[in-house]
Amino acid sequence: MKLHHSPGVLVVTGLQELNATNAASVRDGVRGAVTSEVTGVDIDLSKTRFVDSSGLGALISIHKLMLARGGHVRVLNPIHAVEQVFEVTRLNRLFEVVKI
Amino acid sequence: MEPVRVIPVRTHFMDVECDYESVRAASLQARSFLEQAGLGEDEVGGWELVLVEAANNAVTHALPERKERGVGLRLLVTVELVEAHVVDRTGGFDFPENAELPPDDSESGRGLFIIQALTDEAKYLRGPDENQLILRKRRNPSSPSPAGQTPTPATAPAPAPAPDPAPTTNSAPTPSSGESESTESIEARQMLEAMTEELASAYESLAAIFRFSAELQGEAGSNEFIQRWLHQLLTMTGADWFVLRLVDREATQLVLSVTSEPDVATGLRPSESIPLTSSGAECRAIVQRSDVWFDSQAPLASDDPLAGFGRGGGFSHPLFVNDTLVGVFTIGRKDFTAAFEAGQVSVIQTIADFLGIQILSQRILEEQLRARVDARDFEIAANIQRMLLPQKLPLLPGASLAGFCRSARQIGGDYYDALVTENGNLLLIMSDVMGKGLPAALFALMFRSLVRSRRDLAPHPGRFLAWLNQNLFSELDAAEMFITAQLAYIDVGRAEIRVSGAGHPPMLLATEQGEVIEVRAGGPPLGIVEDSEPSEETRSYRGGRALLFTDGLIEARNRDGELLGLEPIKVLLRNAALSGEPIDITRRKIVEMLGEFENAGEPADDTALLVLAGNLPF
Repeated sequence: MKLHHSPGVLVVTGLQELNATNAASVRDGVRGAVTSEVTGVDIDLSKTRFVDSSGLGALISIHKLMLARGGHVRVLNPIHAVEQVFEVTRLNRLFEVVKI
Repeated sequence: MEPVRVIPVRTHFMDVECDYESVRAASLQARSFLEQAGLGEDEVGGWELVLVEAANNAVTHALPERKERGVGLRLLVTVELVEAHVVDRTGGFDFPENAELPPDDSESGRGLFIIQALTDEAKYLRGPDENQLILRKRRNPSSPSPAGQTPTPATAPAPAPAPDPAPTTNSAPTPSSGESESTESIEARQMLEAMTEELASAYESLAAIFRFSAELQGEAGSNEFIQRWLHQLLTMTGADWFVLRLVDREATQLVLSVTSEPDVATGLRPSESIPLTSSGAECRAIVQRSDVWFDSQAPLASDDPLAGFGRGGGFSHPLFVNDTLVGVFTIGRKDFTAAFEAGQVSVIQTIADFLGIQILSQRILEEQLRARVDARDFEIAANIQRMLLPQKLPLLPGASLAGFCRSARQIGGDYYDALVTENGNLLLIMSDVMGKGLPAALFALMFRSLVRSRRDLAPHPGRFLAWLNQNLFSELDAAEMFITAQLAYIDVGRAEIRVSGAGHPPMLLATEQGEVIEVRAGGPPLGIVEDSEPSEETRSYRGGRALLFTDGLIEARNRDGELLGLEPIKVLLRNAALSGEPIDITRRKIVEMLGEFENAGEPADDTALLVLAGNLPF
């Protein structure tokens, strides 16, 4: 996982998977990188081939943190299979799924 | 048997360590298996997620003391469906019929919802040691059929499914390779296939049977295999105890084969064997050829062999394969207020019937193996016996020899020989190992080697026999066998014949004057008395006939059951000695007499004989 800041936005890239084996470290890593300047988190899922319910839990945790700060979380370019997970769990309503 | 439809099945079994990394690795293996089985990308992805969710749950909630047993993943794919079993060692939980999504801001609690959303059916079976989540989903009709298989069910004989690249992947049912199957094995397999199809609508049964079938290629029918399956059956059906009895080979007793652990409170075990005539539930089930149920309303009689052990309630299920009785299987619950459900009864009956088929097949295979070993024994023994007999008998001036040996139905240990000693004299040997088959042939071989190794002892046949006894006693004694033998030493210089026997019929000596003498000197058979000292008898011998033989000659029986006995032989020998006919003629006459007496009846015993015609030049 790689984190970098563009003005006001924390960009998360390089996630191969988001599942029970790494959900906690992704959650803690991203939350720890949300500095006071960060108003949005963009999570790039274009290279992420697998997301399970633990991974969704990590995203929700990040989302809750940003919500509390008045910010937002966007999910960028999920592959079809991952997008389906969002749809099945109806979290596509919670997250802004962006395809660029 | 009618041709049966065969459902092509591919299965994939994994035992996964109890951590998330191992689960993820296993799900990737499962993914690859499903891809090879021909599922489409969406289906594969869905199952990958479902398996991860189910197995992660099993890891998260595993009981610490059972963690090392890991998580079981079983997959099977048919033309129409995919079924997965996830075996967990948690304390079990109440599986909701329709899981609901948690509030959007909840960070957990979506796993069960995902599982149910992505499968058609999900059922959770709780057991005392482990639980099983059974998941089933019909295949997407647009997706290709299992790789290497036809999309529509084939008719028997079914083509073998394509070999699987992954070592943990099995295809079933698959005809075993290697040795050709017996008709019984083929029938058993066909029946198994037919039953598999018949039960295809009941998914618990189907799942269990597929797993069962997949294991058939291994140690099916072994005690360990049966034990493992019956313990799994307890788990699957929520039962507490079982008793499997198998009928013995004489079909008179039901012998305890496998049972669940003795009840902790009572320590009771079912009795080891019960007669088939018992009035207990097990025997009644066999007589009626139907299940016999018992519970608090219809309890077991106090003298029922299961009374005490079989508390609560349950039923005895007879195991028949066609009309062959294999045994009876009884299963029950201590608390029978919760009776077995219909589906559970179906699973029990099916697994028990399948085990019955496997047990019978195993028995048939063992019998075939034993027959092969016996045939091989027979071949070796026959070779040994052929090797025992002298290729040609020695020629001495003024003495000629003729021998004959005939085996009865089985190879025996008759042996004769004639050895020229260092001083130019002659030792005749006749022996008969008590017993048949390979052991008898081996003792005959030992006897022959010992005799040939010490021909220096020939001048004193009594002492020679004592020495042979000393050298063979412990082996014969241990094998509970014995040897009768006779040695005759012809001292050419002295014109004498010295004879000693070990529990052997007498040597017949017919003189040129027409006298026939039975020479009976000797002692007990070799292997009976440790320190025997057989006596010797010395007779003057210049001409006439001497006959050494084994008891098969005089104990030959005609169709009326009468013994041939010594007298006709003595007459024949006397006439031969008086006429001075060639030795071959004498031998032929004895053999013909034997044949005519038996009148083409079955020879009862081996027969060997050795005729000496003397005309010593003194």
